[in-house]
Amino acid sequence: MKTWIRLYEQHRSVRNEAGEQLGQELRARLKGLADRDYCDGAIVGRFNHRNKRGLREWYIGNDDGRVALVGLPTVSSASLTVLALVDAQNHHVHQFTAMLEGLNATGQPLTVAVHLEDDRGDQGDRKGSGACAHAALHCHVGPNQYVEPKLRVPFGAVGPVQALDWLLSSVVPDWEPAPWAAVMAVLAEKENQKGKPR
Amino acid sequence: MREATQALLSALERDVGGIAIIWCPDLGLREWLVGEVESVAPTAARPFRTSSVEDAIKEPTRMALLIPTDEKQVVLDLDGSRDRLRGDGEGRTQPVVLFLVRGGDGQRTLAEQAPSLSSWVSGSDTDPEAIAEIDVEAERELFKTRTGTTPKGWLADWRAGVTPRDGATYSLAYWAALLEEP
Repeated sequence: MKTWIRLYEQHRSVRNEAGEQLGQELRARLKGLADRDYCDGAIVGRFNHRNKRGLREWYIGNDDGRVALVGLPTVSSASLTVLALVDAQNHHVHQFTAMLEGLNATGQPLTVAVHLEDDRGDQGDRKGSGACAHAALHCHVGPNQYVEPKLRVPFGAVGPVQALDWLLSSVVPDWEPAPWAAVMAVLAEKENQKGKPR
Repeated sequence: MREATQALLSALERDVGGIAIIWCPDLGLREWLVGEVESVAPTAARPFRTSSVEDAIKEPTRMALLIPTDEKQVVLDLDGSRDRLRGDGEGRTQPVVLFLVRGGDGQRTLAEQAPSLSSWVSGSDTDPEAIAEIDVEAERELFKTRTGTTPKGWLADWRAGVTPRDGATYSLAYWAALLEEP
């Protein structure tokens, strides 16, 4: 059980690490899609926020809350939904969703969704039976979210922006925020720093 | 319903070579709103931050994000530099975006000591956070019109697992969560 407790604690921590720039960083990802012609450039202005007494919702201001994605090599009829509910004062992330819907390469329905469960209310983000089957931050991959079995893959301790990056990296060519060469360069530098005398 | 980001873009695009004013609730949100403008500005605008009117004038092809350390002085400097801002010949191709705190020295100076500047920027100013703050009752009515039920009623079905999960219903769920009665 220790592993699941540790993961749950990490998921709680990431809610406070997104910072005040969450909306802007999510918009930057959407802008990146538009710059590569995977969606309409109007998405920059359509990604909006509205507030109610210190609670801020980030959403895509299209009729159904989605933006159509075009030109993806492995997913057709695709759309993307990005949503967040945050505390406007301290930027704590209460809830986050990024969802891709479309048809896979064989023409079958595909949904890829990352959810950080809402931590407000009596039960907070503790949904389902427990921290293993229903981790606070998890992803779904399948035809949709309600066909059985409902698979909720526990996600690592990443923030909403990184979770969106993962989702996009699954279907957008060359969407890689952490290329191995850059990762190894950072690790090598860390090793160098360890070896240096104080 | 007006949307905050759309209002921001309208202010930036209304007078491409002129001045736009972004009203900020306080200094903390001023910093955040500067980030918002940076994030919606077209890449070609090459926005840059400065506290100096002179620096803004020197870059007519870039969007100058003017963040005053002395609001009164910056407003007076802008008022005195209108002709230079308009430029000789081709003029500016990107706006100067001035961030002022609501009810602050800059707003008072604009009204009392810079009527020409005030007239010039009229219609190119916006208060995104005021627009973002929803009229709760009006939004609840809009939600009910769109879905046929109240946010509370809609969420009851959602939480019971009755409502199918897709991008459109998740969008409604978040909207309902914002509007939910305590």
